[in-house]
Amino acid sequence: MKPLAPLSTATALSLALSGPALAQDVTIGVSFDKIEPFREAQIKAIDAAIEKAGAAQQFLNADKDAQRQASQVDTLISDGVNAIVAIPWDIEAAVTMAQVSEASGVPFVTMDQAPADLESVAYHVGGDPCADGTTAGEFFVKAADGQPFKLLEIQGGLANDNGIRRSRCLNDALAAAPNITVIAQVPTDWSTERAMIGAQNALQEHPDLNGIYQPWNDGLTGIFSALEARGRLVPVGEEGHVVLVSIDGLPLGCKAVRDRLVDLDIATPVPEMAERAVNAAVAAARGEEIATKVEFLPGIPYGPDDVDAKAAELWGCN
Amino acid sequence: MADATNPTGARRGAAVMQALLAAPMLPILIVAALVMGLAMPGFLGPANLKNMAWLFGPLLISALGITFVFLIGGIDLSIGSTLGLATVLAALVMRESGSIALGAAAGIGTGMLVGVINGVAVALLRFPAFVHTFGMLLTLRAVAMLITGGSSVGRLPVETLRIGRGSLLGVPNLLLIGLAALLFANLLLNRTRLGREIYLLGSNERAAVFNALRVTRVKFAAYFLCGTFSGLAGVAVVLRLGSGGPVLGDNVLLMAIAAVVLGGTSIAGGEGSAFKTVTGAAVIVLLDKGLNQLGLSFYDQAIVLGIVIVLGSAFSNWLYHRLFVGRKS
Repeated sequence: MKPLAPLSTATALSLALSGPALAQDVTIGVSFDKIEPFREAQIKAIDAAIEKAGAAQQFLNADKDAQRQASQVDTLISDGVNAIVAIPWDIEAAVTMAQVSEASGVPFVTMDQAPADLESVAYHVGGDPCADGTTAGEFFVKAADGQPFKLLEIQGGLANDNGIRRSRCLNDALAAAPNITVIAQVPTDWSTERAMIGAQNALQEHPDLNGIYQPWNDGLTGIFSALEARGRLVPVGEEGHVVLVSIDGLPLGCKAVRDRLVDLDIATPVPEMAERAVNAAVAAARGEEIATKVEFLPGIPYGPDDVDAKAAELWGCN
Repeated sequence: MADATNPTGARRGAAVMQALLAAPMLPILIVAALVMGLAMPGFLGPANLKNMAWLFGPLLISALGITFVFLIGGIDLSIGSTLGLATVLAALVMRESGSIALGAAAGIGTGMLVGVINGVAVALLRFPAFVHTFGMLLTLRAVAMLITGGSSVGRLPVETLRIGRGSLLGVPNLLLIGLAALLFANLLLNRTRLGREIYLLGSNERAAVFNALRVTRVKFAAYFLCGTFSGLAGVAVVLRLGSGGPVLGDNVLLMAIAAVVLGGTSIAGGEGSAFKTVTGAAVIVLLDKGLNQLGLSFYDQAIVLGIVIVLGSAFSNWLYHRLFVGRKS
């Protein structure tokens, strides 16, 4: 697993200084790319982090539209926010938004989805999609145990960093195991319905399918439907079980692990990510220097056997 | 009645009715702008107006394109995918050649090519427009994905954004492009034989055939214009964002249809205008920005926008039948 990028002393100092009592004069504009269950969890985390910092916020949702997000960033700038925290929908358009924002004197911080050019932003914190993809790949290699193994790869959105790297690094990790055959890669643009159809097709063509990589929790419902229809929704450890690995750590992911339907979920550290993004935005708004401009936080892997032991650090399990 | 006793009042009443018929959404647009302006200081300020103009320009161009198709009673579901592919090719050419003009030509050319394909399929080969353009929607999106590997195309010449965010005599360039498209569409629909034939064909295709109208040519022209406008809208989006991408047109189809229908153009054909589309697009942008800035949640915004589209199009329809059809009868 890729190690957590070290937080420099200077950053730690500057972030720690962003105490609640000091940020009452700061308004943070928050621009989300879309609203879905994972983003709802991130909104709650952002709300909590902003409240903790004592800042005010102005929230806007771009609803999967790069033009609307660009327009909203312009609105936030003209409304006089002191910093912007954004989850970009389009990684190239995000570079332009960051440049416009920074040129207007408003620090631009990105969270979760990295823009195409990280130099353009004041700070970026995200999950580590490559580390998560690698963890998933290594798990499949271990599960296959040198035996022939047919794997279906569901892909997220290939227009953004998370989707691209969760796929690429999975396949890099699988390259070490020639016994694993990826029978299909199904691009879904994060659509649960497309994930379900992809799984249905794969199960029809390969009734002896051994594993499915479902790189976001929301899509699990579609996978379960497809497995159930073919009589393959079997708990972990029982005959006929399809090895299932997912990413996110949503409550539904945690429940699926507790129900022993998912072998491994990799929980993105959402609260920590939100807190770092907000603190960096507050610090940048005050003109403080952020020494470490880019941080990637690898997810926390957990399965049916250790979910209870790790529950305290899993936001989706509480 | 005012008509008998006060001829001036009657003339004024007739003028108001004419204005309402020409743009049923105009009063709603004015009232909404005033309410938003009063509720949010700065909403009608220069910064926000410029911001709205940047959003309005590309939407207006897309909506004008599909207006031609609606006026003949047709449908083009591929406008969003055409726009997406046009942004990809325009951005690629801009990046590789360093020329904005060449990139713009590539984007508009993409739209023209799609327009030719749609026009030939629907007008000449008589494929069902809904099915054919749905197929094009999927195909063009997939082609854009294949070209880019799913990712966006950025790192464009710095002039791209300078043009996209720039102004001429205080008017944002993207709005000027939109207004030029409006002027062209308006002249074509009201001052040319093709424009008259578009309305006649949309009103009654069978009668148009019996009256020896150039039905095939008119249908082809409507789809060709729609494709071309979609390509132009794609170029406007690239100028606005400084990048292109296969998913940039995903929301365009529904927004453009909403703008056209809300403005008062009939999807059944024969009734509507470029000016009506302008007011429909303006109401959508105004609400989109205003509701957002008022702090309404995403779901509340969607509900309000949906209600406005339903009631607005019903109002336009009622007004048309009450004032125009009723007066003719």
